[in-house]
Amino acid sequence: MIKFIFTFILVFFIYQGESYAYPNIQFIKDNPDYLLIEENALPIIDIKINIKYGSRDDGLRKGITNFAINLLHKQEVDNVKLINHFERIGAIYSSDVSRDSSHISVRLISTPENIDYISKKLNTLLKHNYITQNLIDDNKDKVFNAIHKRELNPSSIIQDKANEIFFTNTGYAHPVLGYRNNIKDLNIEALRSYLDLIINQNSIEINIVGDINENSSANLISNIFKGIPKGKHTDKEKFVLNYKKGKQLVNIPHGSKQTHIAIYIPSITRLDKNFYNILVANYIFGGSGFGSMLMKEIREERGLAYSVYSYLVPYNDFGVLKIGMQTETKNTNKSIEILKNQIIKFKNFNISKSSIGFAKIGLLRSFNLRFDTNKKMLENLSAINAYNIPENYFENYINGINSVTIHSVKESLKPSVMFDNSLIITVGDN
Amino acid sequence: MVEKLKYILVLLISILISDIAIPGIKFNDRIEQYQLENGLKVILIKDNRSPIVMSSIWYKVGSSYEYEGITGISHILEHMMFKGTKNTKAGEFSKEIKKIGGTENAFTGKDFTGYYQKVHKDHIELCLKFESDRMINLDLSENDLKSEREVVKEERRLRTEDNPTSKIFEKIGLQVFGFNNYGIPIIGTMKDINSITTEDLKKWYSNYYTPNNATVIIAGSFNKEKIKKLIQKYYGKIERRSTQNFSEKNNFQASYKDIITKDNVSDPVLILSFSKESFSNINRKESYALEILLELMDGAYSSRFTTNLIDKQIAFNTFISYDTYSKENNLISIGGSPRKNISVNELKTSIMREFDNFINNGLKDNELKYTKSRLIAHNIYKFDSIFYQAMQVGVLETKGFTWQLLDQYIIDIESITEKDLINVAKKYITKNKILTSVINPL
Repeated sequence: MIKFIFTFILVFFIYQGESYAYPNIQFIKDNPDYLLIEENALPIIDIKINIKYGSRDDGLRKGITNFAINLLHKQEVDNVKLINHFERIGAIYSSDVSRDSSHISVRLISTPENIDYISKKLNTLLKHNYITQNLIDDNKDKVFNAIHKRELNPSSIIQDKANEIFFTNTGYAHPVLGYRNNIKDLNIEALRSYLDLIINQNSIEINIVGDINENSSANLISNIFKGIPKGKHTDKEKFVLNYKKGKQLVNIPHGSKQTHIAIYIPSITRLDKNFYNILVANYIFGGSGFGSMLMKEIREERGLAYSVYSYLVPYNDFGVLKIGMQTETKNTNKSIEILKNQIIKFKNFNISKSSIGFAKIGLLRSFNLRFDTNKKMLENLSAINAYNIPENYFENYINGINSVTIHSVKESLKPSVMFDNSLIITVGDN
Repeated sequence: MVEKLKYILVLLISILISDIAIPGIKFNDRIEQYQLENGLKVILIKDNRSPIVMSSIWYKVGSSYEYEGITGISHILEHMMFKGTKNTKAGEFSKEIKKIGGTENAFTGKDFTGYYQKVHKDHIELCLKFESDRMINLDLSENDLKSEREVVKEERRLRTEDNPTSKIFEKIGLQVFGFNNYGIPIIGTMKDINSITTEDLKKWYSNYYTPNNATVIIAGSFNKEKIKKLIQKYYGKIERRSTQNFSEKNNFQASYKDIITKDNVSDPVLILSFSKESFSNINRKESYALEILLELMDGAYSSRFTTNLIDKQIAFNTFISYDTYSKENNLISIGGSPRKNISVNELKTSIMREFDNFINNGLKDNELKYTKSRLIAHNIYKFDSIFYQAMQVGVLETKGFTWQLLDQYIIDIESITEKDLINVAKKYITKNKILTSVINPL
């Protein structure tokens, strides 16, 4: 029984006289895959189960991960859908599939009876013994409908098209929902065997935040895993970003008042040594709302958009810097020119020392705001778990930001953001 | 976390959820309310779970205060509040908040306009200093309005004109209420956005942005005595001014004629609108009964619409929209999209049949217990966020109700019976006039 192996009871960060306190991350049963932040102020528990398979692992059956995960809560036990069992005690169940992983989240009131009840229902759900052909047929109908909806929505169209072009020949190119042809062919055998593959103790990480201690968390996890195979570690296919088209511009015609603009530039992963440099640089560029380079030029000075942003998306295998905005169609070319000019300025990074200083202070001081609710703590805990970086996480983050200088950003930008290899895509009535 | 709330886990009231007693949480144990001499209402909500505090101010003005010709003025003014004052440059407040790692935003509703900042507790004074400054010293320039008008137009294109559902809801509001109260679109019409002047904005600002028309709500971690002194220091010196009602209500005759449109949707969208009078303490129980009825119909996966319409392949999706605490007469909207081989009329009949069945046959086993469990648990979950605590209190206070309703809510919900539900179904759904709206795919 070792508690708090890699944790620090309270991490105090002293910055210009201010004290900051961060939550205490515990390893449940000494297992780095099971993380807990105990927070007893409210009678609430939040659980997030990470399954280490996402749409990147779909293979030729594009959309199978999303489809399979979406069936789990609809299984009928005692003539009632599993999700209804959760709702009976006021618990909230949700699931989602991203490119690198899938997630199941439950929020409940923290009574011992509820904890026991929920753990058993989650166990039944993960065992996936109640999937039927009727359930699959109905789900196909709903997925086809969701695909159709995405085909009409400009912000979905631009994402799906950009991913197809930019991530071509990788598991990241297709939409999480998949394609009609692949979904049509899914059958009960394929789905059961896929769930057998992705649901085992080795492929699951568990994150818990709230009014529960380590012992109860350990019991909860034991109950969840009862009868679930141990599984074994499998090396997954690693994808390489093949996008090498120089500066490409693609337009998708669409009858909307606004034209949506997206720019993708190859970048780095979360574990890259330059991560903190790019994080600080992007904060200045377009990652911090009002006052950022993009917001100033596009919205504050010219009123060309309601929102304009840039953010680093660090997937498991590679990263991408995404820039986005929407503007009245007649302003599309003008906006693209401004974005291009700002990208050149960003690339050259002729930024004052004080701007870097403000960005670092802003990022460090805003860190507390990422942990001010149980929900936010859970989301961060889940990301920390997925990247496998719980050890000294807070210290590393603070040190990482503190170490950034103008010189280090300039040195990092060229190898970390491939400016000469960008995709510009527009969706609108151009 | 550094400090935990000491009083929360005290068993304040016991609620039966699925036969399990759970602790209740009351605002009354964390709120202090008072008023400054200039009429500014102050509400302090203590929550020490993290070293974060949210400073917010709520003005009693929103789209329901407007009239044709200046629709959207409250929202444009909200945007202009981020420009400079006599003492600060444009964007300076936002820049200062960013420097201290805070977040900030603003929102305009039908009955309120609000501004907030979330910061580390050490920086609360900065928020109060800048927020009180822009209550009285806003500098409304032509130049700033020129570019911000374009931003607001882009916002309207994004949220309304390229959004088929928002667009039809705007039509429904105008057909039932005209340019009165809740018929006025919050963002305003494009025509009015284009024509509002700085003079209009100045008039609006000086009339409504007064201490006696505002509520300051501070939620989170703070020192109570210190915060009171700071509020007095920054807001206490602002003089009260009388506020007049500018809205020009006309005798609009509501029309219940069907609205049929074509737009960029994958499947037809059906919306059935029913009228509901404003919330008051007198009809409080009835409003909550309606809330439970609608939750029972469409509030969750286990609700009747999911079981009987979605799972039985009549609808792809369903929705219900209802504002319990409506300050003016409002609409209950119920709808969804039919499956491929189902017509819009069949979906309409099926939805209405659900209410008829309920009236004729009443509740199923444990249905009311499970529905109440959900509502009560969800009410507790809202305490996770200081933002939602302040929002709940702010919305009620600015609409002219009281935050004490939030503490009474669970007791009221527990008292609702099957008979209450049947009565509101009869009164508001089946016996009411229906406005049917449909968006067909292009």
